[in-house]
Amino acid sequence: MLGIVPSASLLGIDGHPVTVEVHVTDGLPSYTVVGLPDAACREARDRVRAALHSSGVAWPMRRVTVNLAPPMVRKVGSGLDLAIAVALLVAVGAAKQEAVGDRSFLGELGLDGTVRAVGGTICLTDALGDGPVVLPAASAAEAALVGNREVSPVTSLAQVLACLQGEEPWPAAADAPPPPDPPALPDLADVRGQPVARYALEVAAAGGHHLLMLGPPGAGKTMLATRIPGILPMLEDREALEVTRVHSAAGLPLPGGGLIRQPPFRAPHHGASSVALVGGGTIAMRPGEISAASHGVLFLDELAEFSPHVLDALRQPLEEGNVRVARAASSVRLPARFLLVAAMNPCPCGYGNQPGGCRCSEGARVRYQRRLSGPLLDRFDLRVEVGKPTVEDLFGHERGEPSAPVAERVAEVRALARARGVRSNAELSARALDEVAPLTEPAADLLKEVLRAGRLSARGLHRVRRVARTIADLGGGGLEISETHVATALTLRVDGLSGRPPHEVLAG
Amino acid sequence: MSTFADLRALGCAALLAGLPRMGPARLLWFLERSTPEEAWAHATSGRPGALGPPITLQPNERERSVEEVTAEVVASWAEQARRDPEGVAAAHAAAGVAILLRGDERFPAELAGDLAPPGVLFARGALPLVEARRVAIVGTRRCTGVGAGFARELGAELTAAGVVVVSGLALGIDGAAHRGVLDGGGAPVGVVGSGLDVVYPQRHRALWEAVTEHGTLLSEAPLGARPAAWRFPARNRLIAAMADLVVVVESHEAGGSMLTVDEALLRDVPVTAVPGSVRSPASAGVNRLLSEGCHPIRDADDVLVALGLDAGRRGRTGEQRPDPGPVGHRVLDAFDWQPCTLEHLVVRAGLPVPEVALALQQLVAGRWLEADGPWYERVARC
Repeated sequence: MLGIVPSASLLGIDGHPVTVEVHVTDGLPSYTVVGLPDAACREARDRVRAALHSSGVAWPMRRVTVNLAPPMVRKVGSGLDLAIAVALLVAVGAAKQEAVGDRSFLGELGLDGTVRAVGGTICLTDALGDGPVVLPAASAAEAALVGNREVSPVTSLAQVLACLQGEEPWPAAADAPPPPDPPALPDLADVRGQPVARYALEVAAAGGHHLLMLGPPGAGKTMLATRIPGILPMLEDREALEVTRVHSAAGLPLPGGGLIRQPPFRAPHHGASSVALVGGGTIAMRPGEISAASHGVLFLDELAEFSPHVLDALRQPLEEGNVRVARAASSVRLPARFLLVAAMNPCPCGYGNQPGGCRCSEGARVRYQRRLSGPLLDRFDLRVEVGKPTVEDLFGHERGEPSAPVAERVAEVRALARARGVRSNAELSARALDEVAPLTEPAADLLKEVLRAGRLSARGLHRVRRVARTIADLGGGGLEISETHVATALTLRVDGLSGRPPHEVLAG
Repeated sequence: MSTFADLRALGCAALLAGLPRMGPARLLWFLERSTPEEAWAHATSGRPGALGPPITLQPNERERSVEEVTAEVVASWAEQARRDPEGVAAAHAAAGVAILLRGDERFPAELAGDLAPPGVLFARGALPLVEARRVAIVGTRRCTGVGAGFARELGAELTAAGVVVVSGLALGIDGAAHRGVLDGGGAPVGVVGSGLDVVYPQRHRALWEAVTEHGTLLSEAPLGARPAAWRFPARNRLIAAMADLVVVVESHEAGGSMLTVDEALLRDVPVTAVPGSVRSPASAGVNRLLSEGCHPIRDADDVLVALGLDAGRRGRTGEQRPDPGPVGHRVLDAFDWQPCTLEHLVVRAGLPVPEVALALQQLVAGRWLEADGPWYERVARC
């Protein structure tokens, strides 16, 4: 006899529909699974057998074949357990195929028959057909985020069996409780003094410009970075949905079952592998930190300690806003549009923040700086020196400006960018710059001089103009970019690292 | 027009200079006692006395005996016996490198008569050296932007006054001085610690070529010699020996330039120093020299006066710098002559970031400030 049940499996952040077919026939007792199951799928047999037993149904002493269609796509994870169990129930005659109808089934089974939550529910639900979805009660709130869907939250296989046999009605989804208030984000008011760093934070958040903070340990670079999500605008529906999908697929906790509204903040440790950072781990092509940071902040502390190989992997996502991960059997494109914020010491000894004060040997310093390739360093439009707060700052009574007014200014600038047709000023094309950010003559002269002095490349020129556009927006809008705006953009873009090799003999 | 015999002698001298542990004193011992050919034969003979004066153990050889190490070195020298002196001399000639022995008319006189003269010199570029007053400009590798700028200007101005500048082609002050001489269209003299074909530091490859093309490059080391640590103090003594005056532009408390100062004092060459901020680590050494009685140098005129040349009040036109304006003045006042970052200035001047940024760009353009990465330094000019 044959049982057919629709379900879904996860790849990247997308669910793929899977049709589970179970065929039971006479013959020596055996169990075969086909359809490229991964290890967790293969282990389904033991879970399903125990769950059935706990629910009062005997495992058939016959030849059982499970097919997970379509055959050429890898099936991942334990979320197919419930579907396999239901298909088996139909195949042994304990339930009718008509009772299944067009219902889809998702869920992991415990040995006692409990139906457990499945990672990536929101992505999986999205891939299912139009019929009702039977899934674990713990995942119901997440599934409800996917628009009009009839959802039946269940807690045990026994309950599912009872519903299939018509003894109980399929449970309806309870009204989702209102999502809890998100936790308060760190506030800028905690930052004392450090006016330039605050300003750079504002410019970075407002325009989406990547920020590099240079400074000795203890300067507060991490503290500053964690304040950025608090001044970024809350995520809009489309962004929130994408972020929630990514976090769900990555197995990260979701706030009270609701959509993620706060811009994410991810700070991977510098020992992270490139797979952990970029994604593609496990057969399910799990999203990495850069995808989890989408529409939020990716903070790389101790940038020079990251392996150059790992940093190199960031270049394409920074350029394109997504990352393509390919394995032998499949490839996925994961979103990766984030604000990159990084912190580093100027040199290994940490005293490089004073000219002539660095104690590192030439070789050590050159090796340290070589870890950051020129192209990666170039991606940072804002490079600021962050000094240690003075004693007066720390014990002074003045708290800095809190996040709320800063967030308002940031939101205004972001709105201006949207009116220009881009998500943020950092995405303005070179041609668009001429239209929306024309230079006054003194501004153009200043740029020409800097170009002539060799302190700026052509690509650097466009980046400076974008930052100048954001600075002008923060200063009250107005179409033209003045010399002040350009000067500020240049000054916030420190040339090279402090404590760099002493005044070497420059060409020309 | 070396004869065959001469070629052989030159080759033997070059080979001797390249033997391991052949320092300047030992080389001199050999060449004072016999001809280069005889010395070469003796050194590579494998006999117990082949090394000349007894060797001293290096720090990493403390556990071994002098006899053991001596025997090793004797053997390593004997292995070199099969080298071809004529071939080596030809190779040097082909590379444009002149091998100078003390009798050679091109050998700089002040080095020949020095209290620790080099046995052999290798040279490339213009020879013999121009007869003129010579000033050695030395300083730390880890200098500030202001220090390097000063060294470069000094190099150019002394060149304009007809003074020859000698330095070591190291990073920092040395390189800036050479570049200043080249700016002024002069002939820089560089003394290096490696073979003339072994560019050190790598970053100065272009400068190396430029000094060779427009001036002279000297070394006590034959082609192919690596820049071993011990060669640099040896090279510093040559710089001091060739100079009529030494100018230390910037130096940390201890460093190579201090060794050059010691060598200069041994030879009664006057040492002068450029004062720097008492807060700057890069000026700690020069300020100490000044406190111990060295003559201060504020500009090229001071150097010329110290040399006994007429400074001629060359009438520095004192390049007119554009007036900084009210905001510019406020930013300059916030400086107090220490290097500052944007942050310091924003806090001290009490102005918003964009205004300070604009003022900084204008002050840098007007040569009131020098920018070095995130650091801005005030520049004084008469």
